[in-house]
Amino acid sequence: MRQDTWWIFTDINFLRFFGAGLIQTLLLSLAAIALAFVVALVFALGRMSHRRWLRWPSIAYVETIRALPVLLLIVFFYIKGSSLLQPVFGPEFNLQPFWAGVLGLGLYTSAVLAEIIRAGILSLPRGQTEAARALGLSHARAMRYVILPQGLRLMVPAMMSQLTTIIKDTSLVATIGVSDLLGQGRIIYNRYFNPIEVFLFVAVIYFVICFALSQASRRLELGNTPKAARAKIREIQLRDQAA
Amino acid sequence: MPGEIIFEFPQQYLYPEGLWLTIQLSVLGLIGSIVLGILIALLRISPFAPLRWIGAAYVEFFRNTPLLVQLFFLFFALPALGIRFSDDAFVFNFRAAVLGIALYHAAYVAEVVRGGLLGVDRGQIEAARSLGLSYRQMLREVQLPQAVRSVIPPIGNIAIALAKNTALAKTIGVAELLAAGDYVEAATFRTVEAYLAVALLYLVLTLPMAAGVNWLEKRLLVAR
Amino acid sequence: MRRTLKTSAIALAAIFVVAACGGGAGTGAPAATQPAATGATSTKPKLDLSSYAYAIQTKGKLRVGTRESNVPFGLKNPATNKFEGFDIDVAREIAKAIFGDVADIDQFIEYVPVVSATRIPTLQENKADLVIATFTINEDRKKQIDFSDVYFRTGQKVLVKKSDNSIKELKDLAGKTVCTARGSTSERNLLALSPAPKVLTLDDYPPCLLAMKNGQADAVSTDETILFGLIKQDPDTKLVGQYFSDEPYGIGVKKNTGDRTGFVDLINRTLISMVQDGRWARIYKQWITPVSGDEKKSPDQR
Repeated sequence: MRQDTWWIFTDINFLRFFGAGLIQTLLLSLAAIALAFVVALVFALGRMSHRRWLRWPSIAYVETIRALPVLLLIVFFYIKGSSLLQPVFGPEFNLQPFWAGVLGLGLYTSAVLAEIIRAGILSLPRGQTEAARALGLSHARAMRYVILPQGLRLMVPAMMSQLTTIIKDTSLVATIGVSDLLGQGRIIYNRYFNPIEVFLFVAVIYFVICFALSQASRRLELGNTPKAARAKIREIQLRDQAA
Repeated sequence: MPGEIIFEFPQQYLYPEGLWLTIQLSVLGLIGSIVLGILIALLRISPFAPLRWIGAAYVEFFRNTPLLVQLFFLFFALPALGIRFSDDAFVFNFRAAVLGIALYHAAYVAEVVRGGLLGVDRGQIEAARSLGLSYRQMLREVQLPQAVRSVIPPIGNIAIALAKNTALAKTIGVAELLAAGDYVEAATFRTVEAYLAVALLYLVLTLPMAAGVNWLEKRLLVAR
Repeated sequence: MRRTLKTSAIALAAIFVVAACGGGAGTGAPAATQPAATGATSTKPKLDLSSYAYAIQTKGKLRVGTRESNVPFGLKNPATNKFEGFDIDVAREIAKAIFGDVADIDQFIEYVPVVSATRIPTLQENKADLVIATFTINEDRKKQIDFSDVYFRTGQKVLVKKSDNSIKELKDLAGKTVCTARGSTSERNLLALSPAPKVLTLDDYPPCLLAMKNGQADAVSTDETILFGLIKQDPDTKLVGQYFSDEPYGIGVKKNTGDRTGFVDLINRTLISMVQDGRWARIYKQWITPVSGDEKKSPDQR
């Protein structure tokens, strides 16, 4: 049974098969981080709001989601996502496993990104807000035109390194039947009984992508992130780098 | 009430047992990752270049591949290599999970510890060396004690991540908390309750840890 | 900065669109847009307008929940990226009953991968129109979903290594570790044995075989026909003992609450005509005979 199966990794059909999985992995990562960014913005601003009814739910959301395993969220949306969203999208709506993965991963990451964005904004000198207010801008406008753009720009490297984490985390969707890189690998080792070869191959692909991304974000990071924000982001990423 | 299902479900106290396994995975995994992480960190700052490379390769490899892939790999590869830990499959799965979790998080611990060691003022290190301490003595007497204080809060953060990541052990047949949720869901079809109960138990585990780490961070900052 | 925000918003939207296509969430083949009036003049069968099958016909896709790694019933072939197996061919016949006897019926089928534990949620959450995945009909499941008539019948057995002489029948399993799939009837049957073996549950059966090869399990137990498939993949194993359960497979459908009108009937009628005109026997011969060695004309033939 342990015949040589390394030929699989040079056969064009099999490479295409893995390629299809890789595309799913990358699309899922991008969709998840896009969703995460939008939701994160809302909750980061909510958490910094002066209004209690905005601030408290935002804190509760961010802290609760951050405290849960991302796999739990993914499994939950897989099993319950359709019926949760049916009131919105009509009774025949069905949430594909792919989108259950996007929701689970995206919402988890949104809590992490919300904290990163908040750290970026808090690291800006107070003078910025004061100057904007002194120029007659309302709090909301000062936030929108002065603070937020700067805070977000500071956070670009941190978000990039979060993308590395997301790509690694997408492997979890293989457990709910998405044909991502790991999912395709599983089909192959279930047929050819070569898990060791498959996992080595898959690991190398993940490694190349994630290593390149993390090197790129590290290079960016040497830029102008303030020291205080950098420390905070490091802490967030240690706590929230999931699988 | 979502909480009720925890106590109501008769099947051998699934949730409490799952929680207990999750705690065991977390504690053993954390100890393993700290011990291994310190070793890797020492490799990383070794004056001998090849040792530094080995340390760097370890850190980069384990940080840039998914934990799930690493766990699956251990699950299938260890027995094929003749490493069995135990004749009991369940004990084996548990130990493979602990090993996988420790290996993965050790990479993060190593980076934190390295940062802590490098954070020690170089002047102190040189002073210690010029006082005639050997490299090893200097490490033990000067560099490590100072580093310890600065690495405790970040390691606390890693511990929180680790506790959450133990959920992945279910994929290699460890009946931890999330697997208990799966089982109850499949048996009762009460999806929301089954997983809310799981979520509550994770919160019970991780929220106090988060509070503890925040408290430590503030205390150590003030003390500095 | 405003401009960058705007362009990034557009980029994000584009990502979502691309991802939607990649995620298989597209709204169906071109055939779906054909109005019913012209559809009726083509080869498509005429269906009752109030039936669920008609809704599927107008949508242009039958969503079939099936397994990816279950020789010889349902598997995704990595060399061709296509699904194949006994269950798949039965599903294709059902698709033909809805879309007509076209050459490339797969264009009307969307395959949704399932594992044992996700079969019921897949139906309840409307991720698939039917699940055909070695799905045993039983009373508990009937409370959650509807089943078609029996389209295949088998029973549970035990697979061990050829060199293993310590397990000859069920009672020898006491104290041994037996591997099976999480959420399957096999898992329940094993737990109900007395004295019960230690049951290791993984996602699927092939990993169980690997676990046994690696010495992590003493035996693999599930339905005989699935075990036949495993033996085919690894001749170093053998079956022991008697059947200890009856496993009638059915096709699972979401419970009809007015939204699945006539669907189970259509499936049952298709199954009956398949047995009558020999299509069932042909599919059996193609997929099951190579692993079991026998030939059958109907599910109930013993």
